[in-house]
Parts: sequence; C-alpha cells; structure tokens
Amino acid sequence: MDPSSSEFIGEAQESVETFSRHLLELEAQSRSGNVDPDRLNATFRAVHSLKGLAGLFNAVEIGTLAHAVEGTLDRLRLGRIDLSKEVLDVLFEAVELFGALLIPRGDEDDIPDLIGLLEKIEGLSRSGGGEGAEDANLEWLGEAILSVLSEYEEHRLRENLRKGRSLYRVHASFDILAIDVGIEQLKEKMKAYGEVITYLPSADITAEDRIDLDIILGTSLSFGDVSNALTEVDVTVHRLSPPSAGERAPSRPAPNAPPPPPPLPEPTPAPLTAPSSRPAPERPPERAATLVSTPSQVIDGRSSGIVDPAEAEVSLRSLSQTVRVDLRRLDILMNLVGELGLIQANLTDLQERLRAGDVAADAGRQLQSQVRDMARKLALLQQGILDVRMVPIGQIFDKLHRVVRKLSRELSKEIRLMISGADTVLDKLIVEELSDPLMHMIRNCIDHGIEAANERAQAGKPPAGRIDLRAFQKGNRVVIEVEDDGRGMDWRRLRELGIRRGLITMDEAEGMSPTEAINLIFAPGFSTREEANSVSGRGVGMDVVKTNIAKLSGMIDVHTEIGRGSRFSITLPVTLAIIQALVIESAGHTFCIPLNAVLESIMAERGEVGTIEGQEVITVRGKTLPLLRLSRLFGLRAPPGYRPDSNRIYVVVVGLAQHRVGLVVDELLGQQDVVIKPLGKAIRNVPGIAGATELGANRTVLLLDVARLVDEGVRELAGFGVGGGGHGR
Amino acid sequence: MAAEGDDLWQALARSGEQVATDEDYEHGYKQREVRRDLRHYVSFRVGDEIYGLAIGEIEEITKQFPTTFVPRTADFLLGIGNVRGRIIPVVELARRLGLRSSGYDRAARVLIVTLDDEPYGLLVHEVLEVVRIPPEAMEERPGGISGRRAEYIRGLGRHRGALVIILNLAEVLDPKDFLRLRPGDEGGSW
Repeated sequence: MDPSSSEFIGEAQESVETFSRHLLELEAQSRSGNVDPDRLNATFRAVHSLKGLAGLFNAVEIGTLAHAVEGTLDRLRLGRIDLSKEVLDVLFEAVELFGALLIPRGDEDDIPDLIGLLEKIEGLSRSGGGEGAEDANLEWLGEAILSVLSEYEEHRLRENLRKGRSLYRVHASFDILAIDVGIEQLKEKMKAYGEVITYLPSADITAEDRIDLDIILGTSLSFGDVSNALTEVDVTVHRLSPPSAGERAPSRPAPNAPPPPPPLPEPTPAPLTAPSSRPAPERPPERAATLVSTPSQVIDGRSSGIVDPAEAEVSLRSLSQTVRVDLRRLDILMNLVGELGLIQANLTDLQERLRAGDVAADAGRQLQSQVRDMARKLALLQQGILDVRMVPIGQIFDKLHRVVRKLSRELSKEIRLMISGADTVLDKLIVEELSDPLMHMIRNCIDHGIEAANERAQAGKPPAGRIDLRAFQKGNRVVIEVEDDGRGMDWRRLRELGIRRGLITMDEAEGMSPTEAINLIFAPGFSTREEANSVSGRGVGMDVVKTNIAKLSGMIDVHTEIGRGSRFSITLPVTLAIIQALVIESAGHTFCIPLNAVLESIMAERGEVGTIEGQEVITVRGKTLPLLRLSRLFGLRAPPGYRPDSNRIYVVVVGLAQHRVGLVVDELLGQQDVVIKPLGKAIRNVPGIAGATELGANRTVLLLDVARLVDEGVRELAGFGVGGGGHGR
Repeated sequence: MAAEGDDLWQALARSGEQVATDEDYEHGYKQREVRRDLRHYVSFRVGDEIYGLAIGEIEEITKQFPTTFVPRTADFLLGIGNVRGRIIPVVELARRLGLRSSGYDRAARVLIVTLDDEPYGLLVHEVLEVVRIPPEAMEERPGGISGRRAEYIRGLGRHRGALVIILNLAEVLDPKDFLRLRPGDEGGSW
C-alpha cells in the first residue's frame, strides 16, 4: 500500500498527535516529579500503533523512526533510562520529524534529518542504559511471585519499593461470570490508593465457578488503611515485606534524579520460567484491562488538569481532507435518505393518480402532508450533514501547545498555556483554516506580549508567563480568545511606529483614537520589533491573521491594557458550508450578504443622506455612518426599465472588527439559508466576492465578501478624511 | 500430437495458400499507426470563423443557459452559471478572441471544457461537427498573426478545404486575465 495515501496520512497523523499529547502530559508530570506509568504505557502504545501502521503501508522512514522511539519508550518504561529533559527534547523532536515525514515531498525537497535524530535516540539509549547493578534483593517475595513477573512488572515493583512504598498482596475471588466487572471495580478502587503492579493467578482455588487472583499493589498507605479500604467479602489484603529492613532497597528520591540516571536493575531474575507457570487464569485480567481502558483514560484526562480531547472521536487531520464519522450518525443519515425515498415514491404515486384524473378530495390533503413531511426530513438531513462536518477545535489546540513549548524554550521564557473549551465544535473547514492564524497570535503573545522573567519580577508578576486559549459558543457563533498576561500594547507607541513605517501620515496620526492606533497592528508591514528574529517580527503576522479570519467571515477584536496583557477575540460562524444570508438587490442585480456580518438594516429617506466633503454619510442613533453604494463599488449597470424607488433607500450596516459601514442597496429581498459554493480558480480572487450560491430556479447569486468591501470602503473614506474615527465601537 | 504443427505447415504448402511473413506484419502495423495518428476535433463557429478543440478537452455541449454577471471581471466573462450543481464561469469566446459578439440564436451552444480539473463554459455561435485532421494537414500558426491573439492558437488545420483554427485552451482561459482591476487597485498597498 502506498504511504502517500490519505488513509495512511490521516491515521498516522492521529497517532502522532496522540503521541504528542501524551508526551506533553508526561512532561508536565515529570516536572511535578510523579510520572504516571499508565501514561507512559499509553505513549508507548501510540508509537507502537504508528509503527504497525507504517509497516502496513510500507512507510519505511516513519517505521524506522517509530521503531527507535518505541525502543526509547520501552527503556523508559523499564526504567533503564530516566525521563529527563534531554530525553523529552529528543522525543519532541521526533514528533516534529514525524510530521515532516508525513508530508508528501518531491525529489528536490529537503529531506528531513532522520539520520541525525536516529543517532540522538541511539545516544540516549547508550548513555542511559548502563548495566545497572542489582540494587535490591527481591527473593523475599518468593519464587511463586518472582517467576511470573515480567521485566516491566518487576521494574514497577522495584520502583515502588524505591519510593518507599509498601507492597501488598490483595487476594480476590471473582465469580467466573462477573469477573470482568469485578476486576474493573477493584482496579478502579485500588488505583486510588496506589499502583497495581500485576495480577497473578492464585494457588488456592476456592470453588469451581470462581477465579481467584492475587493482585500486587504498591502503595504508601499503611496496612491498616489498605486493609480497611479494600477488604470485603471476597477480597483479603496481605502484607508483603522483606525479611529485614537492612535488605530493603536504598530509598532514593527517584523521579527527579538528574541524568546520568541512577544505576537501575538490569533484569537478571525472572527469566520467564516454564510458560506453563503462567496459565490460563492470567488471561482474564488482560481482557479486563482492555475493557477498562476507556474509563481509566477519562479519569486520566480529568486528573491532569489539561483538557484532554483524546476521547473526541472525530479528529482533525490537516494533511488529509477526511472527517472521521461516528457510524451511528451515518446510520441516521442513511435512514433519513431512506425515508425521503419513501416520500418520493408516495409523491410519484399521487402524481400519477392526479394525472389519471383521480381528483378525490383527499389527494390534495395527502399531497400537502407528504410535502410537509419531506420538508421536515430534508431539514433533518441538512442538519445531519452539517453535524458530520463538525470537529472539536481541541486538535489544533494540541498543536498550539507544541508551538508554545518550542517557542518558550527558544526564547527562554517560561510559559503556561491554559486551555479551555477544547471540545467546542466547528466546521472542519474552519478548524483547518484557523490553525495558522492562531499560531501567529500565540507567537506574537510569546514574542511581544510576555516579558522576560526579570522584567516580570519587577512588575510583580509570577515569573512564568500565562497564555489562555479559550473557545466557547456564543449564540450561533464561536468565540476563540487568546489572552496573555504580558506587557500589553501602548497605543502611542504603535501610532509612532505607524508613522515610522510609513503606514500613516503625521496628520492622520493626530486624529487617531487609541482603538484605531491599536488596529494598526493589523496593517501589512507593521512590526514592533526593530529586527526580525526567527519567531516573529517579519511584519507578516497580524495582517495575515486578519485576512485569514476575514476569509472565514470572522471578526477579530483586540483588547489591551498596558502592563496587564492583551486579549484577542476571534468571532466565527459555526459553519461556512451553509450560512444565513441577507438577499439584497442593487441596480437590478441580486446579491447575498452573510448575515453574520450584518449588524442591522435600516430604511432611510434619500433626504437623510448628507455629505461630508463629498462622502455620503447618514446619522444612525447619533452616530455618523459612512455609506458605500454597492452599485458604484461594483460598477453595476441597471438593466433597461429598472426603476428603484427614488426616494427610499436601504442601508445594510455591516461591520468588520472595529469598522462599521453602511452599504446602500435598492431592495431587501429577505433572509435565506444558503449553501456556499466555491468559485473556480479564474474568478476566486475577485475582490469583494466571496463565493456563489443558488436561490432556487437555478438562479446563481453572488455572495459578498463584506470584510473586503469594508476594507475598501474604509480606505476610500480615509482619503476623504472621514476615517473610522467616530464610528468605531 | 507432436507432429500436428508440421502437418499444418505441410497442408498449407500443399494448398498453395500464402502465409503472412514478418514483413507483412510490420507493414500492416505501420499502416495502422498512421491511422491512429488522426486526431478528432470538435469544430464550431465563432463569428464568421471556424475553430476547433481536441475532442478530449470537451466534457459536454449544452444549450445556452442563464448566467449571473460577476462584477470586476473582464468583459469576456459572461458570468457564472450552474450546470448540474457546479458553478461554472462562462466565457464568451467571441469577445475573448476579439470577434463580432452578437447574433447568438437557437444554434448557440456552450462547450463545457475542463482545464486543470476546473470546468469552464465557452459560448459559441454554433457547433458544427467532429472532424478528423491528420497531422500532415496541420500547420503551425502563421507568423503574420502576432500579439496576444496568436497565443490563443495552437495550430491551423484544414478540413475539406476549410480552415479550422485549433485553440490553445490554457492560453484562452488564462486565470490572470479574468480579473479586471479597478484603476485604484493596482499596486495597492493594502
């Protein structure tokens, strides 16, 4: 199979993202000094499945890398190397490289440095994997237990001892029919107290229809506490303790140990003795473990403090244009289509009866009821299809997490990224288009917003900068906020820079309001850094952000306070595929305006229109609103005989970020849900036109790009000296 | 059984029938190759001239359908129309080629063509027929025609004495010609 197939890329990307998510989690845990072995195992599994996938699709490079990473993770699991900063760095590098390897590339493209990273991984293993001396004698556990421990289990057991925890043997007896549930419950319970190291078949068999298990639990609780907590009808707790304190493992504060790691036990005992000694009863726990995996994962996510979108079934994959769909949703859609088919059959039947002259009284009524039914089903179908397009925004938040990590190291600023609302769903298309703008914004926050640690200390702020990434639904829109607690923006300085960059003249600067000055950051070629660095400062950031957001019919607002930080809010429609539109007419041509850009529509007398230096304006609730005539902007020629009401005009007030402009049109034809269709390559870039749609009877109608029109209008108005000033929010 | 092949040859020799030789095969093959070289073109009338497009470039031919005017585009773009759910830009070929652009009647057709996987419509006055033109009947475009128009022509073909101008679709539908920039838009700093 072909490694460039979208199927492979999609799946692989998902695995890489899972890997990266777990890695971030592990990093947080290693900082707090308490690495959860389950998390490490999950990380291992993600890479392992990636390796399998790569093998299946013959993706050699990815397979090789996955193999190496898997090896490293395995050694981490077995405690042969420590989860040091160095190891984490290499693993994160692997995440990036996986991403680079997944992008299909031509012959002349740069080949990602796979060899270099493989050598680094190799280096890790060697420096870390020294032959550890046996540092604890476990023989007191007895041959019965020792002989069945796997290398990994033994390592966990030692690890628990090193942390000074006690070991307990929990003997449990399960009804053979309910063993799945029983083990799950017990495991959940025990997890709260410590670590379940292994399940062992028990020697003493109580009854035919029961299975007995010994579970080795490592915990820091005392025997009494454990016993109280766990003992019930079929569960007994026994203490496992070494014969004398002298032979105990040297208790060492393990987790934060710096590299070079302490000599760790190279597994000498536990040579899996006669396989027959791990008999069938070993099986049920394994099966139980798989059954439990989902709930335990949820618990991990909750306890980790960071929203873990792992449970989200639908995943965003930027390289492949696929959406993973819950089968149940497809079933619903399928059913709907089936029902529509039935209705169609009924309608055909009715039609034939009517043609045959059967004008029975109830034919009309039946027809009406069928049509109504069909309309309802169609609406459901539309909703269902829309739902299928929806994906949680969490996936790009994960990517951003990585960006933050990388940048904070590059610029040596400590940053905490707080995420909320990762499960907010948006149209797949929007989610895809959002990742670049959000990345730019986060970069700006880190580079320009967050101060250096000493500067923060002087301002009395905690040394670590904080960036909040929030998503939430607000009415039928989604708001995404990026907020930092940095130095904020000084509008006077921005204004000064605007002059220096030649974006505004001295005169323009004079009349500028703080809001307008702040909005200069969205102008092309504006950068507050004197010299470009690798992170930002090439002056392409925020104007790209603005353009991209505007393309999604979104708006961006800035709120900033000097010394306190800045907040960028992006307001977006939930979907782009179907939008509500206001249908208008100008000089005999029909257009649609996305309703989410329309603030209000007002009817005015021609006499209310005044002029300021030739620019038409109208006063709405005490504020002066500049007017743009659509017919003039587009050079529309009215068809012969077209005579709009000469005394009445309609003004559609549209807004883009801070700017408000009134579009003058001849007629408002109503609101409608429209399906947006893209225009071909040739006319995709017509300024002011965002797409096309159909309004029944095969009538194609253009959809206005309000952002662009407002931009043009504002630019034009600035020429007349009627800038957005008084009309801002 | 083993002698069957020999028997066949002997039987043929006796009956005096001729067996095809290698040269015969080669000859026949060559002749076929020349035939395959013939190319099919759809010929159509724009104004008073006859044009042609390779048959593979044309997806379908439809009657004229209503189009919607798109502001800020070149005047040869008639507008956009809807063909079975797809939005298609429709080019008035006569204007694009600088010819008389009136007189569309019931014979007028829209050729739906594909270029770089994107559909376009070409409005023509009349679709004539499918013609086969052997390569030896094709001419390079004459040097006399110069400028932009010359680039639209891939070659000149002769079919029963009539001249068929074969179009170069990539040039005729060059996307950068579709936009009409407003006077203030060039080099805009925004």
